[in-house]
Amino acid sequence: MIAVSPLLDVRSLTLRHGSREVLDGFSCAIHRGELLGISGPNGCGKTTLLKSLVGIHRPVSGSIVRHRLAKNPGYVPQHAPIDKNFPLTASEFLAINCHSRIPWIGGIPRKLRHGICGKLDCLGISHLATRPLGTLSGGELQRVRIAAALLDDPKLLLLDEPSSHLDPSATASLKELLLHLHQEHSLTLVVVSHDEPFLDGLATRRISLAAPLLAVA
Amino acid sequence: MHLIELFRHDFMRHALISGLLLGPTCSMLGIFVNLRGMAFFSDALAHSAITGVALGFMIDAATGWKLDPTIYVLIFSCLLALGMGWLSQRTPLSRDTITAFTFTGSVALGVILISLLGKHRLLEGLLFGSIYSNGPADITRQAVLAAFVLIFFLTQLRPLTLATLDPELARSRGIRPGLLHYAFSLLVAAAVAVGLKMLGALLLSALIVIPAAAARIATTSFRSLIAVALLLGILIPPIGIATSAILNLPTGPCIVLVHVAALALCQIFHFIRPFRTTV
Repeated sequence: MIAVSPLLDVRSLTLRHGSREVLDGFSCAIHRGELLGISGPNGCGKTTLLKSLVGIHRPVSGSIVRHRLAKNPGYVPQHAPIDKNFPLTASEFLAINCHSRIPWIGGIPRKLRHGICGKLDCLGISHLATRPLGTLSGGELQRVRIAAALLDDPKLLLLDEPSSHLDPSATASLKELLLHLHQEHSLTLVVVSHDEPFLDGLATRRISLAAPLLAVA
Repeated sequence: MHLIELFRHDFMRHALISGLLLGPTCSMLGIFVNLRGMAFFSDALAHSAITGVALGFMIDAATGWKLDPTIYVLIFSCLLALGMGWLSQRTPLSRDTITAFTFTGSVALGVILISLLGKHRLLEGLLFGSIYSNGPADITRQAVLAAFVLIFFLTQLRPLTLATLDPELARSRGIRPGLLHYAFSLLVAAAVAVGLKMLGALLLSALIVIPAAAARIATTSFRSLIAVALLLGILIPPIGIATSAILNLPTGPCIVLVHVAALALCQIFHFIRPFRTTV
C-alpha cells in the first residue's frame, strides 16, 4: 500500500499572538479530500493557526510541511469591514486577486475575463459581476471572496470564520456551497469557526482547540 | 484671442506644461490618498515643506552650497513621510495623531527658522506658490516625477488596490502592504516637493485630493474612477490658469476653485443619478 503524504503536515507548532503564546506543540495532518473543521473558544489561536497554515504568520517553533499541491492555498480571511464606498465591482475584486503579471488599470483584462467569469458562474454569482462591492449583502460578498480565493484553482481552501456576520439563511446557503465545492470539485477545505452548529454536518473531521495552550486533536 | 496671445509667453507655456504634468500625476496619487484616508497626511507634508526650505537655507548658509531648495524639500518630505510611517507602526498612536503632531511641530520649526533667517517674504511664496516662476528645470523634475508615478501604478496598481481594501488578504497573496505604504508615501512626498512651487503649501493638497474625491463621488467602478480622476487632473489646471489670466486673478486660488467647482458638479451628477445604493 502506498502511503499518501498529507497536503499539510503540522509538526509541534508553537504560535504566539503578540506577546501571548496561543498554541504550544500543536501537531496535525491535513489530508487530500478532507473537510476539516477547527473550532474553539475566542483567543485559543484558531485564526493564528490558520494564518500559519496560509504562510502569513511565522511560528515560534515547529514546522509545516507543505505538499506541492498545497503551495498556493486559497484563503478567505475573517470578515473585515470594507469601505462601502470603495469603487470596486465584484469582477474587479477578482481581477486584483489574480496572481497575474498582466498590468491592471481597472476593469477586467481581456486575458483574465474567461477565468473570472468562469469562477463567478461556478459559484452562481455571475449576476453580481458589475455590482460595486459596497452594494453586496454579507452572503453575496462572502461568495465573491470565495470566488476570488478559488481563482488560481487551488487544491486547498482555508476559510476563517466564514459564517460570521451572516444571517441564518445566508449561513445555510454558504454551508451548501462549501459542501458542493468539497464533494463536486474535490476541494480540500479547512474551516475555522467558533460556530459549532455551522460545522455540524459540514466537517468530515473536527479539531477542537481548548483554552489557550492546550490543544486536543 | 487675448488668451492665445498670453500663451505665446514662455512663462505661460511653462505654467501650462507644469499643470498638464502635475495635474494628472497628483490626481493618480490622490486616488489612493483618498482610498487610504491619507488626505490629512498629504496636507501635512505640504505644510511641513516650509521647514525643508528653511533648513535648506540654513545648510546653504553654513556650508556655502547653493543647492536647489526643491532638493532640500524632497529630502525633508521623504524623511518626514518615512518617520510618520515608522511611528505609526511602532507606537500605539493613530496615524491621524502622528500626522497632527508632526505637522504642527515641523511648521512651527519652519516658521521659527524663517524668522531667524529674516526671510519673512519667503513665507508668502511658500504658502501660495507661483506657477509662473516654473522654468525648464522645474518641468524636467515634474516630468521625472510623472514617469515614476506612471511606472509605479502600471506595476503596483493591483497589489496596492488589494492592500488598500484588505491588507490581510493582500499578505496571503504575497504582497507586503507595509512596504507598499512606504513606497506610496514617498511618492506623495516627492509630489509635494516638486509641486510646492506651483501651488504652495496651502493649496497643493487640493491638487492631490480633490480630483480623485470628485471622481469617487461620480463613479462606482475602479476603471471609471481612474478615467474620471485622470480627466479632471488633465483638464482642471489649464482651465484654472486660463480663468486666472482672463479674470486677472491669482492663479493658485483659481486652480483650487476650479477643482472645488468640479467636485460640486460631480456631487450634483451623483444626486441626479443615484446609481450607488448602500446595503
